[in-house]
Amino acid sequence: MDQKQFLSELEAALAPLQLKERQDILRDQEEFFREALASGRKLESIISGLGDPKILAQTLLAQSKIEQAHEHPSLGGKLKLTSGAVLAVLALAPLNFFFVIGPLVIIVSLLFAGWTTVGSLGLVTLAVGGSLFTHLHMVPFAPLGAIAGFSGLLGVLGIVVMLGMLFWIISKVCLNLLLNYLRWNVRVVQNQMKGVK
Amino acid sequence: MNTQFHKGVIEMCILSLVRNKDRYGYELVETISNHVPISEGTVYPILRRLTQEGLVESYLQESSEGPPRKYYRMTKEGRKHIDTQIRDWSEFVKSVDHLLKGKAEKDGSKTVSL
Repeated sequence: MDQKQFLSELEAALAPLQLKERQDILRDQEEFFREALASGRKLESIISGLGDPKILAQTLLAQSKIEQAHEHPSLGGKLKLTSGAVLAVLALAPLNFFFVIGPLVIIVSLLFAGWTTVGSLGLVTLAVGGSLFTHLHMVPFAPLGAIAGFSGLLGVLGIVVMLGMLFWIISKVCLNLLLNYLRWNVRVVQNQMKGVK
Repeated sequence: MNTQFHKGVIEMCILSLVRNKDRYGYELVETISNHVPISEGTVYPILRRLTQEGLVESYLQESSEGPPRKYYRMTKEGRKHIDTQIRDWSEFVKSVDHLLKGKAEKDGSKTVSL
């Protein structure tokens, strides 16, 4: 493998990154080659020192995805980017699955439980409101009874919406926790992969 | 030397080198590998992550030998981070050294919290 081949393999493996970031990484690697050659080293020794360009790319990809997900402001986007980051981290090492699965299951089930609760509370409130509306003629003290019933339901609905908003924030916090774990995981896996030879 | 020792140390080496003065990528790799056997491919991803986390920042500077070099400079946050790390590290080394030399039994008061 020569320098051109190393760089083009790296570039190909970095395809999921945005152009600007990819160009930045390639610029840095070109500089590295330039400096190493200028210091009198042989090309083979430089390339063998850097290792497999695909592994280098995998680490860079995983790191970049974690940071992007961390910075994304909306919950939907964060969720999407976090799943991408999880996949990228899993690809780093074959046995990494066992280290990632625990935290992942905890966060996903927390999110699932929370949103199911908020969702079903909302549905029940709407269903009660609907049945009240269709059975208006059976409500005692009409129309006062109906007004009281509807305003009560409106209050409950307000609480559900507030719960939803609260859980929206909690979800973001949970995803950030997961991302912090991934950061740490990449750090450890990265050092281990290169360390054990 | 046992490769287990290298885990996590590279990051600390990078930060403490950048703490002393601004450095460029190859300079860091060269300096560290002169003292600690490392795989050179490890340094760049760590540098990039440290930049993303805001512990160091980079800038391009013209060099006399050709195209510009990317230099890394310590941020305020990075300085705080590495100062704590260096303190923890030297306490840790001191305690382990103490233990290895068999002085631990005589002076049981020294403990390391990790």
